[in-house]
Amino acid sequence: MSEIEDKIREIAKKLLEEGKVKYFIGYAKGSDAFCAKPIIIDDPKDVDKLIWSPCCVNNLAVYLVDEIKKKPRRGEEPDLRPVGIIAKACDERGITVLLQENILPRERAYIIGIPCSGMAEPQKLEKLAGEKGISHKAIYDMHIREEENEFSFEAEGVKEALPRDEVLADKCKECFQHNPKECDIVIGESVENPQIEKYVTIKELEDMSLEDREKFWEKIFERCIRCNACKEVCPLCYCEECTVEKAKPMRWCSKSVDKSNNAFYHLMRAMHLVGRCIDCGECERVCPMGIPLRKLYKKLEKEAEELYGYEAGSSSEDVPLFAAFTNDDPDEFE
Amino acid sequence: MKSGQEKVGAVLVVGGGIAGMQSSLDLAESGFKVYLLERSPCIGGVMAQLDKTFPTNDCAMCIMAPKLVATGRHPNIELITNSEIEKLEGEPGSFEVTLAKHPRRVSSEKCTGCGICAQECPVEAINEFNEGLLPRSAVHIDYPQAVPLTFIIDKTVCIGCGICEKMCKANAIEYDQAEEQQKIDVGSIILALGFDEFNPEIKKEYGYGIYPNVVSSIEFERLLSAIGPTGGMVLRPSDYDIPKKIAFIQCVGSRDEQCDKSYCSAVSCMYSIKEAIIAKEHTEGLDCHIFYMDIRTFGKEFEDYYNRAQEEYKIGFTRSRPASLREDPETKNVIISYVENGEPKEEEFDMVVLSVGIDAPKDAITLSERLGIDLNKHNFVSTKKFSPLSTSREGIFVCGAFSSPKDIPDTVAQASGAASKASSIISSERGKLVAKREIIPEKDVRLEGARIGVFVCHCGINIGGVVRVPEVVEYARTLPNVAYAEHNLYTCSQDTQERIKEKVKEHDLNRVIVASCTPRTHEPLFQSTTSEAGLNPYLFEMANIRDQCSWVHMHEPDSATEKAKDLVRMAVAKARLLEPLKKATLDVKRNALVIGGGISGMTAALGFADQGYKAYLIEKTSELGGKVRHLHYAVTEENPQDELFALIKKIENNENIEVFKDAELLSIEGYVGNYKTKISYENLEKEIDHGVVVVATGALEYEPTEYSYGEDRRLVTQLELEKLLAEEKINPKNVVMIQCVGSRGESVSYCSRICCTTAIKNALQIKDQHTDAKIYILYRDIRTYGFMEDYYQKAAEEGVVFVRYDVDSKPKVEITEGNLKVSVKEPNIDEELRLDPDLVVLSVAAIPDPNNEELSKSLKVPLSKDGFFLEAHMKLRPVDFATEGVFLCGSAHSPKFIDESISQAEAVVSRACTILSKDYLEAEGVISIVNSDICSGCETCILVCPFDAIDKDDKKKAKVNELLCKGCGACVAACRAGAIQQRCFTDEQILSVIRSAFQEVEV
Amino acid sequence: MLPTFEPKILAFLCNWCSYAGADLAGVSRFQYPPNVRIVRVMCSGRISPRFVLKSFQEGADGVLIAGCHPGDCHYSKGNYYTRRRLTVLGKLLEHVGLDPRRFKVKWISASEGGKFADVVKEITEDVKKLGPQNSLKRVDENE
Repeated sequence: MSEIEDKIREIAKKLLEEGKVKYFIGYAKGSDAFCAKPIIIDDPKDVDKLIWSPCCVNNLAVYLVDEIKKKPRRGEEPDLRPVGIIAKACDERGITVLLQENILPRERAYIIGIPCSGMAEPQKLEKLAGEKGISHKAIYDMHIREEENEFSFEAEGVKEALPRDEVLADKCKECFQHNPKECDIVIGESVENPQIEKYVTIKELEDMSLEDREKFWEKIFERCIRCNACKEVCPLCYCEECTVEKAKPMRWCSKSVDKSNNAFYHLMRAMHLVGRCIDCGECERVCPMGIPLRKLYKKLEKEAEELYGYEAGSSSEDVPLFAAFTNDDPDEFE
Repeated sequence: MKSGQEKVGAVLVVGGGIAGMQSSLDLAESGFKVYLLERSPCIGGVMAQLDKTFPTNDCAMCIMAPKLVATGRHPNIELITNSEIEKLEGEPGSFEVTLAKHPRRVSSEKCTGCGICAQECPVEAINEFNEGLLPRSAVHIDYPQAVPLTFIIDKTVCIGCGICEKMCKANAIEYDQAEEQQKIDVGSIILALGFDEFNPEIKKEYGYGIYPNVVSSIEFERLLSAIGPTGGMVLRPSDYDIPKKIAFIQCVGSRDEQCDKSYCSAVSCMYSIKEAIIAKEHTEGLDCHIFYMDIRTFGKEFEDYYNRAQEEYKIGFTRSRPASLREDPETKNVIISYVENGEPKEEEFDMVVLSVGIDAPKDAITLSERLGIDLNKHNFVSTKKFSPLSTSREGIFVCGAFSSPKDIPDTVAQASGAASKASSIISSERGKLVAKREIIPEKDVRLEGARIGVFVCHCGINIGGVVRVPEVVEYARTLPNVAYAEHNLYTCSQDTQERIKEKVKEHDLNRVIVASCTPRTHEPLFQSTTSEAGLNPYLFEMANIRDQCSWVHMHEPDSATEKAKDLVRMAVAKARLLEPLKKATLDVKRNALVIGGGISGMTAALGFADQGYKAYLIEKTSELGGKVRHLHYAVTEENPQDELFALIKKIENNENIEVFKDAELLSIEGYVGNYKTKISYENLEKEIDHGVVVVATGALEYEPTEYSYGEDRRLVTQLELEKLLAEEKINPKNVVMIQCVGSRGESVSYCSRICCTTAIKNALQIKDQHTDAKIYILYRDIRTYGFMEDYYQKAAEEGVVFVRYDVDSKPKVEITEGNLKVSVKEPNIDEELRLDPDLVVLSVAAIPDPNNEELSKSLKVPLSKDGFFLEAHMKLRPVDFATEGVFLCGSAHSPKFIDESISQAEAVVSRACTILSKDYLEAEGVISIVNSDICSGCETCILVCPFDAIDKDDKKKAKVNELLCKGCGACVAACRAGAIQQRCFTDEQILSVIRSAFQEVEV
Repeated sequence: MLPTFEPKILAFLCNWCSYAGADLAGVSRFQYPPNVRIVRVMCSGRISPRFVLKSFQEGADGVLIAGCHPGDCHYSKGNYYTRRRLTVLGKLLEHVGLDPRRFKVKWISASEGGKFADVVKEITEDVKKLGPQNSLKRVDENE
């Protein structure tokens, strides 16, 4: 891990010193060891703040959208240099969709790809640490390492190693593309893609009866408080104005928080993400109400693959799922 | 008779089938007045009887209905139905035609087409439209979508009971209408009479008319049709049972000297395959079998269709012409006796379909005498190879099946082509007789609140007999923004139109709603009334409370009334949000760029010049003429070289045509009406401004790799043979011609269409020069469609030997000790046939130009899977591209003969003139617009648009080219951000309609 | 006796084929249940998933969409996009527990008046059996 961390800092430093990038988006230590936070660095002196750990779970691609949307101040010449960005395979797929949809001009990003075999879910780690009775202060200073099949951490003399399967983020358990493709530079060895069963997340739901599924989602949608965190964190929700929520010229979805409007909101969002969601899982991670959004989007990912052989973010050259068709597309409509 | 020499800017089109409609629409859109004469009570012709069309299986009515409606309501087209030509006087440019108008006995002004009369009529008569398979009443229309939608009383069966007169609230029944005469002045005439079906009763051995389960192909077509007598169920006539096994017998009344029909119908192979496929799709487990002599699937993508029929649909094909049919009297099954591989066989079927041939129209002879035009020996109009659209009389033109049997796309191309020929002789009169558009000042309503007027129609008793109309009106008055509401006996009647205008003024209305029949037929009428009332026509909305309410809930007056209220409420919800629409306009650069200087390109260029528009003709080689330069013989008596050089001379002497040789297209920018193109020619560069583009780049000859071609100079292609013959350099004694070299599954999957006739043409030429030469033609199917069949017969009579081979055992060509040896296995004969020719001629495929790809990209038009250019619609838009302003003709479309290329080239001129003749181009009103504040520039809309109408502006936001947008709204549904909206169907309007559908009263 | 449940069904039809087919059902006097309200659009390609979701939210017990058969589109390819988009929407609705019998997409040509009537009968009968649709229906009345 630290080897990669060193390399990140080295590259960031060089890019910033040479002025090749406008700034650099990476990870820094968060409020505790189980939480890496995004950081933007524009001074080569600050590169030591950059870290790489099994907790770098966030998708940084969303910050590229912010950069693109930034309007230069009046009279100011826009700085069109690329932005350096760290990208795991899932982040890279998100960037690829942005490229595919012409939101991000390729030359505006300098992509540092890092092959990744999975990140730890902060909550899971924290819970385990709590069980071991480790203090909050210790947590902050703790180091976490990835080894073979374990995540290990050390603090206050306690050394613990946890099996990957127990702490791995859910989305990573289902990840079958570990290596970023669309990169300017790659750090670290490429990792073998695992042979895993896809779409485990939704299996249980798919096996349920229609009525049970209806009840399941009704309860889920009732929970939503419409804080919009899912939308804000999503790198692909880049619309200037969210059509689902805007009021003018008409309001498709009321701001009222109730199961019907919430359902409308989430189903519309899901339809907008078909063939685009790259399963970075950020929406689910940031949801304060624990809404299992991946169970919604994962179903659509599965349908896109099974019906049309389409995989979101696999190439920026692909024609988007809903802008393409073949004469022989599956047809259930008679 | 007219005295002066003044030309008349009007054309008479005779025949209202698909050809007549196409000619009329082209002419009407190019500034000419059209009289469309039809013998029967309504237009539509045979295509209206078809269920599906090959090879795309498009629904015939779906694709034709828009043309029917457009023809019916075009201000420059006058429909004269149920009428015939009586006399013709005058001369080209100024004819006077006397027409006999037979009584309809229903007033076309008053009849609303509601159909109450037919429902109540007690008479049951033979329904010709459904081929007698279902009765009709004495007062009737042929089919529900008929244009004009005016009923007619069949005097021969009417019993005069008077019920219809009593029932008709519009007072449209006029029993005592008499024969009328009408005289019209026209500059030219187009004959588009189509064809008649061969009457299979003549073929006694097939028992048609005796055995109930032997039907004709057109009867079978009606059985397949969803609006046919069985609603699309395939049922056999004897017991209305579902058949399990159906046979199709080809060439009934075609290729048959016995019944004086020596020619090929050109379409029956394809339509039988189509009928077999559709029948199988309609009937589970159905077995279909086709008995044929040669399968003639020669058109664009026809061979694929044939292959699919065999592989995918498992349709059986037996090469045999059955000798006779007989019936099992008990089961009414039909037993076919036939000979296969020399052995007599019998097979039993539940039902047999006779694929009937194409006859000249019944009135061909009378008409030709009245008009003074020549017919050929088959009673079709006689035409020439280099002037396929001209009759023997100047000023009278012909198109479609009336000049030779042909399919729909060839017919449509000829129809456009004939329109171009007919208008070119009166091009000086363009615009003189057409309806002038009145400009009515429009009231600005944008800042006013909506004040809606609702007019609810009783439609006689059609609506009012079910829906409680006054109650609907009362309800409408309670709806927000409704300022006025009333009911009318017929809202579409002339006096109601005046009333609507009065009420708009009286109540200061700014939106109009009519609740009556369907917008598909009546919206244009009410829109123009709205416009005459001083309101923008898009401030009109319709509620369909007849076709989709009273007629389908006839026994539920309460529910129907509630539904009618809902529909009115939904219309009000939308009307409140309607906005006045302005159509964008744009000037047109009135000249054409023609790419390709072959026969097609030259014909097109000359056509433009004759219409008074400048043409830029660019040719990549240093000489005009294209492939025809290498043709020395035509199968007819014309000499291609003489014709070609006469044409080149005309081109070079025409000051409206600028020719660029050794030319290359460097770049092309712009869109319909306004292109800017850079070309290089003879080391120079030039920029050309033009309004339309024509692709006429032709096709290439396949260079064979098979049959040792290239190893011996006695192995030649047909083109090479033609050169040798013309130079009289050879004296062949023993010739073998091999067909399908490269075609039909080798290098290319399609049939190259022209090679069978070309081989026969050259065989006859050899025979002509060297009577004693022995000629063998090795073939898979001989595809001499239409009248070319006569030359096949002639070749056989002159001793040309035709030997069939199977695709699995192709002929072998060897060169042993300097001698050519050909061996071939005739499938019916055990032994191999060995030949020692001194000349082997390969009939090679015609292949697409590899440069097509680049050209298709710069013009943004698609290629077919075979690499030819792909037209907008295979059936009805054969020379248009989906991208407006770009056209296609000749072999760049698919391989074709000279006359077919010429027809298409003329068609292009006609289609392009609908653009070039306009003072300005006008966009559709219902188009998409982008709100660039919201657009993220993701380009999904650009990818989705079927018309390439969306581009990006310099701020990287989507921008709709209003002239190219056809208003489908696909981009709107594709846009996640809601940044693109379709006028008249905005999200806001539809959302409002959705809400109002479920709300009792809107707030 | 309680009044029988009369479902409300909203149909979106393309102008060129299916709306013409619905008209033809009328011309042919094919009778079908009066539960459907038709919204005309120019092409089925115009039908956004939000129309469907909104219809259910506003209280539709069933939604019917019909367009030209693949290959017959007046605009050449609009219905191919419809096919993809609405196939996926159907899967999503089923995934969240909406009975697929409430959401039907059909290809209906201008000559298939009988088919239109049959489709309306089928969806009306199905939805009648299923009862009112409540899972997506809105609860607030003061929007």
